[in-house]
Amino acid sequence: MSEQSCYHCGLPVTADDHYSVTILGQPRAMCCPGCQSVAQTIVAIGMESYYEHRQQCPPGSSPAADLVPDFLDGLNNWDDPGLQESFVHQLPEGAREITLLISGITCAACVWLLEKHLNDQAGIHRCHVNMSSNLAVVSWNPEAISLSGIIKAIAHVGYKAEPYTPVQQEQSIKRENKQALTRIGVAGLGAMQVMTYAVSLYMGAFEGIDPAHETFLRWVSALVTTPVFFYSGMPFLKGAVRSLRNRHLSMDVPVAIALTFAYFSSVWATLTNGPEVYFDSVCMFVFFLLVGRYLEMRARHRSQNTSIRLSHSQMQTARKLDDQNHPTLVPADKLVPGDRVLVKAGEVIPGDGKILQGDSSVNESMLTGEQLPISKHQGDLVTGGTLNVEQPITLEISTLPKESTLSTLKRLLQRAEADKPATFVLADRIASHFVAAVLVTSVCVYSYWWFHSPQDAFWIVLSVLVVTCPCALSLATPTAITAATARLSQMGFLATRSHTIEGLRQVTDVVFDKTGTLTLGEFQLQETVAATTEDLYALLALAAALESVSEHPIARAFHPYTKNPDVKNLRIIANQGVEGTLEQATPTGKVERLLRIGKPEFAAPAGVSPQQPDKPGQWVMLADQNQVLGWFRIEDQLRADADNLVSHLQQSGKRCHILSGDSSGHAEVVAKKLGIESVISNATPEHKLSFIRSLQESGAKVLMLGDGLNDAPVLAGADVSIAVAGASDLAQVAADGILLSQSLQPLHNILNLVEKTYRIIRQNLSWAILYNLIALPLAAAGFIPPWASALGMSASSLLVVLNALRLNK
Amino acid sequence: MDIIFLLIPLALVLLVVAVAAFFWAVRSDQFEDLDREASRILFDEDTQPSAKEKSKSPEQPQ
Repeated sequence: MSEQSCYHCGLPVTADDHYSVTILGQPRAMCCPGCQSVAQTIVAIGMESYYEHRQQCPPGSSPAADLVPDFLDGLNNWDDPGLQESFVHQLPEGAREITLLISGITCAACVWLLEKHLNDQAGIHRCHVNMSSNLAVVSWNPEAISLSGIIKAIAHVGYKAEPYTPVQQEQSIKRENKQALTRIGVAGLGAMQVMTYAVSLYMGAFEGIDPAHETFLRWVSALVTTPVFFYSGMPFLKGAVRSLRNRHLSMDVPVAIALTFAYFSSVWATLTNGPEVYFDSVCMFVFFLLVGRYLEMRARHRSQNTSIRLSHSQMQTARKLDDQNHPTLVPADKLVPGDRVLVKAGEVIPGDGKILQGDSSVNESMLTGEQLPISKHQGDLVTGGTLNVEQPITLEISTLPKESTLSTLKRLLQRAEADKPATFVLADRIASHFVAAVLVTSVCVYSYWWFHSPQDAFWIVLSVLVVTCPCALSLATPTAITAATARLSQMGFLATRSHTIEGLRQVTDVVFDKTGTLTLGEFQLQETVAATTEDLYALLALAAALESVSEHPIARAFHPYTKNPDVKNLRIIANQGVEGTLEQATPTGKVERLLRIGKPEFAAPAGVSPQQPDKPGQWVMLADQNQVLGWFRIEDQLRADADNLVSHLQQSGKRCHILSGDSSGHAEVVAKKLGIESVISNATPEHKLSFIRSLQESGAKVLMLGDGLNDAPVLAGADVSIAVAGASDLAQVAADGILLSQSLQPLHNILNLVEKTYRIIRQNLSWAILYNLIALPLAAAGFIPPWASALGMSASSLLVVLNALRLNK
Repeated sequence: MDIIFLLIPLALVLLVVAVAAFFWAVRSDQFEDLDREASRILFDEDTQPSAKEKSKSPEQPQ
């Protein structure tokens, strides 16, 4: 890209922005006042070197968006002692401690910046930011600084913080992680010890050794190997038993067989003074495999943690009214049926309920994906989690939080997920063939030697099992997947399921959900048509003045334009439009005009039937009490790079489809712009799901991109699904991956990387199989001494790991 | 070489100590944040003291 990018967040800077901050001795361009103010703060507190050390820009939109006054105003709620009870710990001597979830952390420089900045604030005792989990533990003195002050201080350097309570899943992730580490520790330390004994024994084999010393070394090796085998090796033994029970040959089976044989035969050799011990192989084998699995697990945990964080719904507060209609703040999950709550304009509705008082409109996009608010009046039912847009309303809560629509939907989703088609895993298939082959060969080798030299049979079979040790083979896939997962998250894509990458590889059809996937859900003014002789700019100024009071998405399309300051007495009519008055001097004296903007049926003056311009799209009418003044066409914006992506996808032979719940004909317009032929509009979630099922029946592997809650079952039903940035919580939970950036372009790179990953997996597998094909006959013939087989195993595993690391470049 | 009958058991005792130390480290959350510790050393050396830190009284040792 030729244009400049913002020094702070990396977004492109347009020519008419003139924000700049001097950083590290040079003026740097900024894209918005938000970035500018954050950068200024960072410079002012003496942490310019943040810019030298960081490896990644913070995600674009966040700092600017977070500095809006609304966000800062809402913070004062956190100082409410009643609310604090549920997430703040009291420490001795009056101090308090809280866990905050911080969004926007991208690299270690962020952690450093945050800790330095917070530790500099008066009243903060201690602050520790964990980079892997994005959680900060802060303890502070409530007399010197308030909780909202802390969150504001974090916002000043460009991060967003909210109180956090860990969920069950995280605890188990943490436990699993610790257990894996202790297993690795035991295996690693044990392997080091046993290797030294093994080296002594090899030396002894060449140069002669006192039999007493040899026996002693064997006994010590056995002693050290025992905990390694039983404690560290347990996951393989258990995995093998499980896979045999399910009648499916997994990688764990030969691993466990080789380990068990090697261990028990070595113990037997130690007891009976047999020819060979393999304790060093057992330890090394366990250690290498554990490390490989640990790295894989860590990459998986990281993605899981991120998706837990993303779907962690902010702690909801509600204004509960007491008998005197006096509001008090309570956590939303403490509401019971019958409670009355006040919901101000712009607030999220805390629970399912009935409107007692007030008319407003509600944005239900998290349920339906539809961005336009729906009008709600007294007596209407509203759903928890949706957004109250226009006027304050009073609700009576009708269900317990556990039985709310939202919770029910979450349960439905889990069911849909259980029906997901199983993804065929390449490595598993090869592995089970390989395992079967090794087992059959071992039996053949054993029977051959049994007839020719019965005393050697057992030892030779053992060396077959050790040398064909499936170490390289079982590391081939996980190492590549791990490296790819890490690389993907750097590219702004979180693979949250283990089969995501495999699924992406097989995709033949890409299905887009129109609203919010290809478009941003932000409306913009496309066209103005004057119905009278009045100047277009004058009309626009009137419209902008009227719409300035409304936060309706359509009204927001007018906000950037210059207002006519003379329009007075503005009044919002929920879900219809806005009206106002304008005093105008005419030759006959002052005349007051009543102006209305909004839906044609609302704005049209009495007795006039509106004649909408003959062009598809969403038209807004401006009129006074006598005549129609003008029309404005409003359209949802296409996401940046959507057209680029579609043409790339089509070039690489993938079919693209649009599935939309929209009936306005807009889906067709978008499809035409992007060159997509297959469009289905006006589709219900059931329609969408059956469309995907029919694609799947014709043999296609479907990648679904979506954002709304209504897409959640469809996301869960597709072979692989991606939720785009800004998707509803449930869609993110349902999807196999989450795209973090606002742009869709990474998707193309993601698919390329997935291709590359599978090339590397294939190379790894071929190498592992080649190695085994060479080593197996040699071992079967009895040519390979144990030290050589251990060396071969380690070298082939190392090669596989290094090859996988190429993905990270 | 009979000294190995003494030295190896001694080494085993040290091994047990090492394993115990590692378990203690894992249990006390020292391996919680591997990403950050790797790069922490980069930042501390060249911190320029901020204006605020300079003016701050020494009551809060860092």
